[in-house]
Amino acid sequence: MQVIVYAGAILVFYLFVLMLLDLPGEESRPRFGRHWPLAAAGAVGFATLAWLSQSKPPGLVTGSDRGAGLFSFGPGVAPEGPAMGSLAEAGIALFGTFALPLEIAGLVLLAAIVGAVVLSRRRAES
Amino acid sequence: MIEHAGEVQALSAVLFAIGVFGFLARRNLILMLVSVEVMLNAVNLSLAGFSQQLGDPRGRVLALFVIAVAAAEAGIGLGLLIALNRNKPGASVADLTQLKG
Repeated sequence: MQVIVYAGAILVFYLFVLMLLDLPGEESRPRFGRHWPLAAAGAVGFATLAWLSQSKPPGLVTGSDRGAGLFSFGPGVAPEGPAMGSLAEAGIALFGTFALPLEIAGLVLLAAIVGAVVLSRRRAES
Repeated sequence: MIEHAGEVQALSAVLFAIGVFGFLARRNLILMLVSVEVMLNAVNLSLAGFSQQLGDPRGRVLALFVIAVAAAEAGIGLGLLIALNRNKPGASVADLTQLKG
């Protein structure tokens, strides 16, 4: 349901707004701001921190210890039970345990619909 | 299908870094929103990878909720963008200096 909401509504909405913009005016501007090296440094720093956030320090990871961290490129943990086919399990969890958060998510989507309509409405008097 | 569980997390980290760079370096408001979507989908990928790795369906359920909140965020953000574009054409953040003291 929410996948249909995402793919069908949001991406089409993005395309619609992209058509509203003037792309020739956008092409003439510089693509990035002046501080793009700082942004690149931040992104690379984040990736490095995520890489280093494995459970062992990188100097100690040798040979057979490679499977211990977050980015374990070893043979991988074999998932027990049904490997991928637990869609029914996810659906039961979604409508059983998480029934109240599902209702709240529907309320959030309703508020977003009303808010988007109110925000993008043309004002009649002005 | 996916042999190594760590590759999913590595791809998620790379996607999140791309989103961070796009959000910080781009000067177009729409492309900044697209970068936010890239970051949210990187988190979704990470959640789905951990859910598959641990055999727990709660990660997938949480990814579905993240998708719902991302849809709401995109709707509100693009509505604000349309309202802004009506008053003042141009979607660059360099034009939005009205609050500058």
